[in-house]
Amino acid sequence: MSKTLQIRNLVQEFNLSNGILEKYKFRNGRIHKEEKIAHAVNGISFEIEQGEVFSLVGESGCGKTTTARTIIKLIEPKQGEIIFKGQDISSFSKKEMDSVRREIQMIFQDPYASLDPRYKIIKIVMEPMLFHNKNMTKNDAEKKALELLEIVGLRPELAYRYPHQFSGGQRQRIGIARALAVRPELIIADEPVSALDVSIQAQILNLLGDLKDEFKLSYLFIAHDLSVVKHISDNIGVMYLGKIVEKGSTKDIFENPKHPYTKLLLSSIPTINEEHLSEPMEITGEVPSSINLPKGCYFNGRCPYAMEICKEISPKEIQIGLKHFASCHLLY
Amino acid sequence: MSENLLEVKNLKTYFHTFKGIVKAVDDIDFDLKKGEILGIVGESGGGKSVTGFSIIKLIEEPGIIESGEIIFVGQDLMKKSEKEMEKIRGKEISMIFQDPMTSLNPLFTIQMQMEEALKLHTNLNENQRRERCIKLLKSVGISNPEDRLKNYPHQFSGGMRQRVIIAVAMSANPKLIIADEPTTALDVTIQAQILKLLKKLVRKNNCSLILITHDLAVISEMTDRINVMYCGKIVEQGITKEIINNNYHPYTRGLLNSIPRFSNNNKRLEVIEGIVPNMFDLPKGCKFAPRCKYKKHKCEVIEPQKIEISPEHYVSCHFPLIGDKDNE
Repeated sequence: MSKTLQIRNLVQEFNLSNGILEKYKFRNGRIHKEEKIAHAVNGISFEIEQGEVFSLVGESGCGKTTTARTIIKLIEPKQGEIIFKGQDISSFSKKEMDSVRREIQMIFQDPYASLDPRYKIIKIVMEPMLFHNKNMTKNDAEKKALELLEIVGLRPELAYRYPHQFSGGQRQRIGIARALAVRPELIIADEPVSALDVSIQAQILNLLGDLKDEFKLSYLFIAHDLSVVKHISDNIGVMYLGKIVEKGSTKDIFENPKHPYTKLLLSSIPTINEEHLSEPMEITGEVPSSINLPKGCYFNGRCPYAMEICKEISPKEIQIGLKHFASCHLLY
Repeated sequence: MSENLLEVKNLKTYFHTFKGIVKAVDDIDFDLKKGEILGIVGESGGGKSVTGFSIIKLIEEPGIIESGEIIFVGQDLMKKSEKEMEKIRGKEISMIFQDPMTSLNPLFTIQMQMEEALKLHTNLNENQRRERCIKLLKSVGISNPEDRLKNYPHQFSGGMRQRVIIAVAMSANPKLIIADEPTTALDVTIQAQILKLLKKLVRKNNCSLILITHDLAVISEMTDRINVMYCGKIVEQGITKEIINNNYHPYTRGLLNSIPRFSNNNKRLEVIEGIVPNMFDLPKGCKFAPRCKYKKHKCEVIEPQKIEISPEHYVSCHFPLIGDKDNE
């Protein structure tokens, strides 16, 4: 299998100090330069093989969405390599990115905000085709768009309506059709089902699974709901404060979690019939701010097994199985 | 445990809009025992929240509680005036809302907001009130409560705000708490903390809780009994274990099967076809019939009545799924 996407040491930061007065502070008779920087993604690496579903999971603010946006370069990466089909795209110009974006498409979380309310559905699906393929005629594009809408389960007569006439699940189907319009190889799905009711969520998850086989897609799937992630993924990366603390196959993560944070996440999920995945853990505290990152291991403040070394030195990634990696001092 | 704290009979709450009448809650009956945790579950638009708001009569125009009885400790709340209701809200029945970011007033300190309920509903003096606030914050797991009282809501995180709101709800020792999606806006690890806390406090203070949520897993871990709602109707009600393992209504079963489970590795989920019908134009017979894979002609014409299928287990369906052939 060939690798569709390889991410190496990706770093993303946001400078929150705008303007000179926020950057320079006067203290003790001196002027100090003090910048407030949110460290959203702190050096993460993973790879996605062709035809594979890789999921990033974690709580809000852990940098999942920022990672996705950085990969498609909606935000320029600060450091690191983004290798798409053997080519490092991290230093590509806007123009060069156009052809890459034809092959990487995105599905967004909020089906109410990601469709232009003034466009008819057919136009929404046709637009990317006409943009990326200058030789295509409008008639061809329309025909193809109707086909795609049918594939995602929308009847052709619905194609000439506006987004507000659709329910949330239907809108998400439209978003999926739009992403498929240019025959991408990789789809980045950022929480595609979290805004939907469970019965609709199941429909969309099934659709995403079917499309993967039909169009030979790879997915980068971003979600906070672990039961959804387990259902759809081949491999998983667990993120905490901008780092991947553990990654491995779905089986590794769910049956043999090594990092205390992964265990904490698994024990926190409410389950039907109390079929808990790992023994209950006493959970304390909340995620620290990404502006003042803790020293040492980022999880040390909440970790029940924290030792002295955890407060000083950041743990290195250790290989546990073939694809299974975790970063924790307990594993040394 | 057997004494009924709340009995809701034939409750109907309709919204009279320009486009037509929306029957948000349509003729529901249920009761709640003392010390019990009752879950109301269903998809968006099922009428869960309106049920909660109807119990404390917080329905605003164009909504009207058309008819029904809400008997709370022997008194019918429907017959109470707005003035009398004000004495009940917050004191006897309190409510916890979904969004911890908006249910606290950003202009007042936590202390002022916590004291408000105590001022209205108790005879404590200023010092006693402060003492009580500190005790309450401690009980919901906020460290350093003396200093935290002076803080404003924006200085708390989402999980902490929800703790403060629980403290406010508990402040007058209510007999009933209605929690409307209390953890939906929170992360899983925080959700687990808050749910554990809520359950502990409810059991300790011997009050009852109505937990409204769309999350079946949360419901199954927290509650003693469940009402499953669909389009303003209760389609199935019973003891939690029964509803999860021994359900009879096709909607309940469909809902349970559409959740990805950890124990099975099926790559396809069972789905309920179609979407929730338009509330202005509900189907004639059973509201679920258009999406039901077991529907027969009768379902599309006659609305099913509630039947008791086993003790304390009610289902509204013409052809309940008896037998285990489809159950997992």
